[in-house]
Order: sequence, then C-alpha cells, then structure tokens
Amino acid sequence: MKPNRRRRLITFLKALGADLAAKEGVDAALAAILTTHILKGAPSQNAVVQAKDAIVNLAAERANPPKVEVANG
Amino acid sequence: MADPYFFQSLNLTGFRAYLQPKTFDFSKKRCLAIFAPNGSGKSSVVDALEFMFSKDGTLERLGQRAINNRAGPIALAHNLAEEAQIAPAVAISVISGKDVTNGCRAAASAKRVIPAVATTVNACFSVSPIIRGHALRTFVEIHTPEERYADVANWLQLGPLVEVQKNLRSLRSQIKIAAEDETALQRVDTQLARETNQAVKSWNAAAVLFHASSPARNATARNSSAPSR
Repeated sequence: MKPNRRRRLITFLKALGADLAAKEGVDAALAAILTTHILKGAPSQNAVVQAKDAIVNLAAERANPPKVEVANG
Repeated sequence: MADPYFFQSLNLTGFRAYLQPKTFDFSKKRCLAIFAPNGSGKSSVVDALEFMFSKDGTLERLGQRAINNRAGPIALAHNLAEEAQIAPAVAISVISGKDVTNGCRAAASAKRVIPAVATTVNACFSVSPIIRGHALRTFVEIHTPEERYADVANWLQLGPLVEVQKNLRSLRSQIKIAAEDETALQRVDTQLARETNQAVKSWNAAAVLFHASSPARNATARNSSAPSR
C-alpha cells in the first residue's frame, strides 16, 4: 500500500474512533477500547483478545456486586 | 489532488499485427470498447498497452520464450518489421490537466526502456490495467464472496479496513460467548445459594407459631429476660 494512502487510512480510523466516542448514546469507555485496540492501521496480532479482556474487565468493574455481609460472622 | 491522467492516443509501429504506423485517438471519449472481426488487431492494441506499462517489457499473455516457440520479446515485433526496416515501437500520449506528455518504447532493442510518462502513470494504478479473462472467470466463478470482497477491498487499497471489520466481527462473537458463559452464572448461583441457605423460603404461619411457642424456646427466652441478681 502506498504510504500516502496508509496515512489517510490511519487518519480515517482515528477520526472514526473520536467520532464514535463523541456520539450520543455510545459508551465512551467501549469506544476508547475499540480505538485503542481495533481501529488501527496495523493492529497487533492479539488485538481482539486484548480488546475482549478490556471489555470483560470493564463489565466486571461496572457490575461490582456489593459484598454480602455474613450473617453469623 | 493531482489531475488524473487520460490517454490521448496510442501509436503502434511494427508492433504485433500493425506493421505500418497506426494511431488510435482516445481524446474524444473517455470510455472505449473495441469491436472488430477476428484477426483485425484488437489484441494488439491491448498488447501495446500492456507492453507500455510492463516493467520488464514483455507480455504476460504471450508467455516466456522457449526453444520451440516465438513467445517473449521476439513476439512483440511484427513478423515483417525487420524486413521492412521498421523499428517496432509503441508510443502513447497522455494528458493531465492541460499538460500533454508523450512517451515511446522500442519493442525490438535489448533494453526496451520504459518511458518516464509510462512510469508515472504506472505508479497511479491501484489495480492492474490488464485483467485477463481467466482471472475474471476465477474471480466470478471460483472465489467465495468473502474472497471477492477482500480482493475488491485490496484493489481499492482498503485492505486494513477489511482487517478492522474482521477484528470487529471476531470481537463481537467473543464478547457474545463471554456474556453467555454459563460458568459465571453458575458461580453466582452457587454463591447466592450459600448466602441464602438460612433464609425463609416461604412463610409458614403454623411452623412459625410452633417455633415461637415451643417449650424449649420459651424457657430460653424466660432465662434470657430474667433480671440478674
């Protein structure tokens, strides 16, 4: 691929990530994960696994279940 | 953005089927189709374009030179060119904006140097200017829709976007699997069951009355409520 074309693609993907994060109704944290791992000109080989782990961690953080008090403790 | 290049003309001299100089004027129309009876030189026009833009100055269609064939560079010249003392060559003229540029490529000499204008135009091609019938048939009949999609995206220099799309699909399916993971649900169920195993599952008035009025419990309650002396 020609360098000029690659630069334009990378710029496009960056703008896409920023646009996604700013969009109403879009989860900004999820958009940030996509921007960091997926929306790249040359994503790493395990980009999908990294993005999945980040999303699962985010879900676990948000679920954050309150600790149940032990009745007889 | 730079102005695109348009062909103005193509000239064949002593090249393939054209012994005498023949100029094709493309300046009037941007789209062109060639219709002619067999043996009229249609392929020679395509050969001239391929020759002009091929880096090694040969034709893929004709194959490589072997002992028993006349393929390779020798096939570029008209059979009678040498006898007629005509130097086989292809010349093109292109226009970009208002600038007209000409280039000529000799087909018989050993070097067959590609002209500067052809190099410049060649660098602009995203897709090969010559697409053979068998390649087209393979594309249409043999390739899967996914392969065709990837091919077209690559031709349009959009390969990385296809990669992004593939990664997004893969991520989506992995998140779906993670969200539907029964193991996590079972772990929560087990924890819930452990935490609530002492809870009253349903209100049973008779059992509650029996528990409250049982002699042992009443005795315990009396002892605990009696003032100490």
